[in-house]
Amino acid sequence: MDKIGGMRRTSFWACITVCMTLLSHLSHGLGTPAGTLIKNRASLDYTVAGNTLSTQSQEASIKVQELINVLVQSQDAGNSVLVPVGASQAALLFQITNNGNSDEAFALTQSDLTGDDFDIGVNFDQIYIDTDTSDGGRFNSLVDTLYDNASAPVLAPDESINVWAVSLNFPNGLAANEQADVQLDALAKTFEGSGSLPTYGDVITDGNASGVDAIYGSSPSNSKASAAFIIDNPLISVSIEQEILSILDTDGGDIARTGSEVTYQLTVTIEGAGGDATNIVITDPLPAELRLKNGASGMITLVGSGDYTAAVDGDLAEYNEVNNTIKVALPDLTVVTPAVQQFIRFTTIIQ
Amino acid sequence: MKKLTALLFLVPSLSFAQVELTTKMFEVIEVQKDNGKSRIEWVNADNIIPGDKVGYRISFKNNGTEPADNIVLNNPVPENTLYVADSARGANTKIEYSVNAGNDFGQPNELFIEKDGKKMPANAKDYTHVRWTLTKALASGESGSVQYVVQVK
Repeated sequence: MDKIGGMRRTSFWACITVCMTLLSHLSHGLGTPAGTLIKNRASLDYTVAGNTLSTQSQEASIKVQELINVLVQSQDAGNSVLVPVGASQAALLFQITNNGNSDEAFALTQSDLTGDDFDIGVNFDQIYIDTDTSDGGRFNSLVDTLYDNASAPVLAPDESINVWAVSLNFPNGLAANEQADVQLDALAKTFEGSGSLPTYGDVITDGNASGVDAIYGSSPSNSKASAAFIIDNPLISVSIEQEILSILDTDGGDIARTGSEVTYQLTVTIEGAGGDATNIVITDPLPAELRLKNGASGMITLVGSGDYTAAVDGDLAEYNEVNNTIKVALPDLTVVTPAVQQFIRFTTIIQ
Repeated sequence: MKKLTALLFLVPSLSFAQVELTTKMFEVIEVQKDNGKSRIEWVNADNIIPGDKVGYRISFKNNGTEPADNIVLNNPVPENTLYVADSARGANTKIEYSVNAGNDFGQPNELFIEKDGKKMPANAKDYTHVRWTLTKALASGESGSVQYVVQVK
């Protein structure tokens, strides 16, 4: 019989409520140890015909049973870690805490969740216990301890361990920000052999602690936690080359002198292994001897996007007459290996 | 002859040992009914674990031929438990509490504890004893009960 089943006379909804009531009770950490006898004996003083008398009740005692309660929590900032494209190994860090009232070991498993961008699948590796405190919070398979379900560490009440859930061989085809959600489950070893996953309120007669029953008190949300591997934005580099496309002097020649028109092209090269390049702004301060042709009424061309007036009017290109500076905001770009290029053209007058 | 004298003295003293005291314990749970309302139920106390509430019902009965007077029932809050605020009940009784192992008793607003060298008002979790003083005599054959609830640490 289970603890919840003991309330069979009540309705289904009543049982649900009992579960929820118990849930709030069981959310404690360290509690009275399993097997502790809680004893109670009342006493009574009274008088009969002027004589003072005393009596005591029998001792009422009850033994505290074994509470199985585990809390799994992600220890990664934002419940995620960034993984470079093609990484051969990455690890998520989880904390397992025994919130029960008796020693308990836990069987740990990691699995894929749905609704994300890619799965780890066959590339799930082992789970390691974070036993190396000198590694600056990084996983190191040479010094951290391989978790072995057959000899899982026994945690005292309120004791915690950190474990690494390790995955291997992230494929090259993944784009930046794609993520794989991974779940770590902790199942109390006392309930491991019960044939099916325990539910809240299940009882195992004479559980792990000697002489008392084990009662499963972990809520579904506490016995597991999830975190994500997120493909990192690949390293993107931006370089700019400047060249003169043409010179047109006032006599129709190509001599660079006062009054000549000099047309420049800026070639912007964006290199990376894939992903999005956003918010790139190109700023080109002109030397004092050059001014943009027609000033704020002039034009700046972003090849492939169009011609933009040089006025400060909210479009992609502008010319600041005071600072004598060209500024172009590139549209968001998808970087295709090995690079994409953008071309900016404008014409100046030699002063 | 000596044996008979002893028996004669024993008879009245036997009639004095007349109030019987019995403690029963239960698990206290809150059950919600179909109409959305909830009620507190006292059920068999099996599988008690930390956080559970245990209710004690202490019954007394005057089995003697004489009325019992000045009845004071005293119950220490069991170890590893905390008294649940406002849970003590008892018809025709004055209920008082102690925060110093039963040396002194008073109403909740009369109880103080010392914490970090400062005197502070006590709360229910500080109670060490609960005491019921009956406000009237218990006639021959009459019975009654009191109760309170603790939470297992």
